[in-house]
Formats: sequence, structure tokens, C-alpha cells
Amino acid sequence: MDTKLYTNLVNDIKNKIISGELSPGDRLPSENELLDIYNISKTTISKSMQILANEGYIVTVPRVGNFVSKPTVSKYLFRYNENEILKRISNKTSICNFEISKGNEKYIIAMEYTNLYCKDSMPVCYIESAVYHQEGNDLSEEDIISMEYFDMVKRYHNLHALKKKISIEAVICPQKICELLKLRINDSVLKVTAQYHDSENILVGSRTAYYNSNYADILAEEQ
Amino acid sequence: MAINKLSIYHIIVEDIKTKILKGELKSGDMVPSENQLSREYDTSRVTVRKALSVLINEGYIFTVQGKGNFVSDPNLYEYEFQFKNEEHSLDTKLISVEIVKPTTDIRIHMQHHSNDKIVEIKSYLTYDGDIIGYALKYMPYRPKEPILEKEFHYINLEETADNNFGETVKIKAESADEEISKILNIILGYPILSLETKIENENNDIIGYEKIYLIGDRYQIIGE
Repeated sequence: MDTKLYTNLVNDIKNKIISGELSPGDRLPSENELLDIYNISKTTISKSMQILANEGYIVTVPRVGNFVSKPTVSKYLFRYNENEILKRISNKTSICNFEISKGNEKYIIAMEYTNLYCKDSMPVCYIESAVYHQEGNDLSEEDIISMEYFDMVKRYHNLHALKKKISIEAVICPQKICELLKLRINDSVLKVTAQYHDSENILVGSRTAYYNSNYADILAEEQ
Repeated sequence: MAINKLSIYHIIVEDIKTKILKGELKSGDMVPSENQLSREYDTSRVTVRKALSVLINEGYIFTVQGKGNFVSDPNLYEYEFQFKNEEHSLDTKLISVEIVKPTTDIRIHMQHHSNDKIVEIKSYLTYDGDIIGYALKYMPYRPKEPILEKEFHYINLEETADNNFGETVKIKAESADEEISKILNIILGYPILSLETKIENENNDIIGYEKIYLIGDRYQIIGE
């Protein structure tokens, strides 16, 4: 209940800032005025202000009021969610390959496997995944088929401490992958590489996805 | 006093974040109760609640009604990336601005139902002076409003994003067709990273359509 009330106020003010109704430097209505307008408790209002300040939309000057901050030009964020994309574009997954090999200095074991995602009988995406770890491998091929990637990573690493990085590029499809995705030699493919590092900057996992753009595009949404 | 309160809330937020990052608090673990925290930090429950609502909002914890707050699983499937920052700033070089009759394709993209003319803006995208892409942009033509030259020099994804709502970018890999390969001076079939954007206003009307063609090995999108 409470959550919804402050979400409403937060979104309302955000929208006013985005639409330009409130400009940088403008003073927000005082907490008492907001109390009258939105008919919600003072605690809810002060929570909302804290969230807006924390996200950089407003600046609080104690005892004076809340002001709309100056926008930082470099911010233009989009969200890319692999899970949602795969759900949208495919309805079948199969494991093509599974092997244990040598990892890096800290995580000596590398568990590698590949997945092919299909929409009915049409292959739309091919993903190469790797998880690096120290302990002996206690996952079987059957485990991997039934587990999500991060459930596997979670067995060996603290997910909260991982740093993630992604790159998206258009490349000529590598020959081996062309065959799997039923593409012609020299066709372009969308390559998305994600890497995960621990707090010491050592690689703990990676995922490289190849999307067949004729059947799959990536949607990134404005935040 | 006010400043003091602010810093206590901040300390609580940072302390809990640190515990989560160090693994002292794991996914699914319960966060100390409001009472425990207010005793531990010798502060009011209002301050504690503020700190907790920031952590909830940032996705570190979630509330189970009547039970308490728990550490969430981080969402590692989501990334944030930006098309513009200090190191990767693309420049725009205007090629032409014309008022044209929309083709069927463009009419479909813009949900433009009449034969009204539209503004077509073509430009090169450059990085360090080298051409790395080509941008094609369409917007409705309003005869009474003058088209400011200045506007076109700056029209690109970043600029339009500030004042508009609901933007979705469709990212694809394509092969350069005859037209694009000529414009970008690359061989036919060369990989192209394409970004297609529809810009909507608050009533969900499409007020702009843009397609950017980036040369495959010259540009990649980086996110974190």
C-alpha cells in the first residue's frame, strides 16, 4: 500500500521533470503543499524525496527545500534484458555441447557449454556460456540442462559482488555458427558478449550470444 | 541536525550495501528489523525506514509483508548502456534536410496516414573525424513552424531523448545493401549494426523516426 503511494509521487515528479513542466533549478512544492496535493502522509513524502534525491532528479537543501537538479548530458541509459529477449524470440532450447576445461589462475576449472534457441524449428540464437570456479565440478550435464545460467554461477560466487560488462556488435557470422543458425556464409549476425568479473577483477563467467537478425532483434528500452 | 540525520540514513544504506557485496548478507537472508537498526544506529525508525526504502528502490532488498526485509537476487540479465559519454561521443555531420513525400515504408513506421509531406534529415555519424555511420531521420512537417538549421546539427538520439517519452531502440545486425554500401563506402554485404528508434510524445503519437546504420567493425555498444 505504502509502496504504491510513494511510487506514484516519485513517478509523477519524474514525469514532470522529463516533460519539462519542472525545469532545472525549480523549487518543488514544499512538503506541506505536497501533503495537500497528494493527500498522503509526511513520511511517504519524505521517503519519496529521498528516492528522487538518490536517483539524482532533485537536490535537497536542508530547511530551504527541494530543487530540480541540472541534467547530466552524458546519461542516456537503456536496458537490455537477455532473459526477456530469449522468451520473446524462442520457445525451445537444446544443449549442443558440454565440457570441462582449464580455467584461469584463480578459478582453475572452466565449465563450458553451448545452447541453441529455436522458434519452432527455426534456430534464432546460439549462446556459448562458461563458468569458472575453484572447487571440483559437481554438476552433471543433466543439471546444466535444467538450470539457469546464474543459478549455476551462484553455486560458486556471490552474485552481488560480480561486475558485469556487455558489448553489442554486428559481425560476419563465424562459419561453425552459420551452419547451426542456418545462415549463409558471409551473413551478418548480432554478437552480444557479456563478461562477469569478481571483486579482484578475475573472470568468473562469460556468455557470448549470436542472434540471427532475420528472426530476432534486441529491444532496448529507455529507462 | 538535518545534515546529521541525512548522514545517518546514508551510513545505514552504505553499511547494508557493503554487507551484501561482501557476502555477509546473502540472497534470501533477512535484513535486521527496523527496531534492531534503530537501536544499532541510535536513530529514529523514520530514518531507518527511509534507508530501507532506498535499498528497496535500488533493488538490493525486498519486503515480505508482516515478515520483514530480505536480500534480493541481483538482476544480472539487465544491463545499462549509453550511446554517449566522454570517450564515445559521436559527432553528426549533416548531409541534407529535405521536405519529401513519405514512402510507404516510412508511412508505416510513423503511422502517418495521409500524404502530408515530412521532413527527411540525412547525416553522417563521425568519430574522431572518420565516418562510422549514417543516420536517417524523419519527423512530421509543420508548414507554419520554421525549421531551424541549428536544430538539425544537433539532432541525434541523445538530444531527442531529453524531451520525449517512450523510446524503444531496436538493435539488429544487417548486411549493407547497395544504397548503404555506397553512402558509407564499404563493400556490399558488409556487417551493419542498425539502431531503429521511434520517438513518441505523451499521447503515444510518433513524432520522430530514426534509423542509424553503423559500420560493423567501427562501432560497438558497451554496457555495464
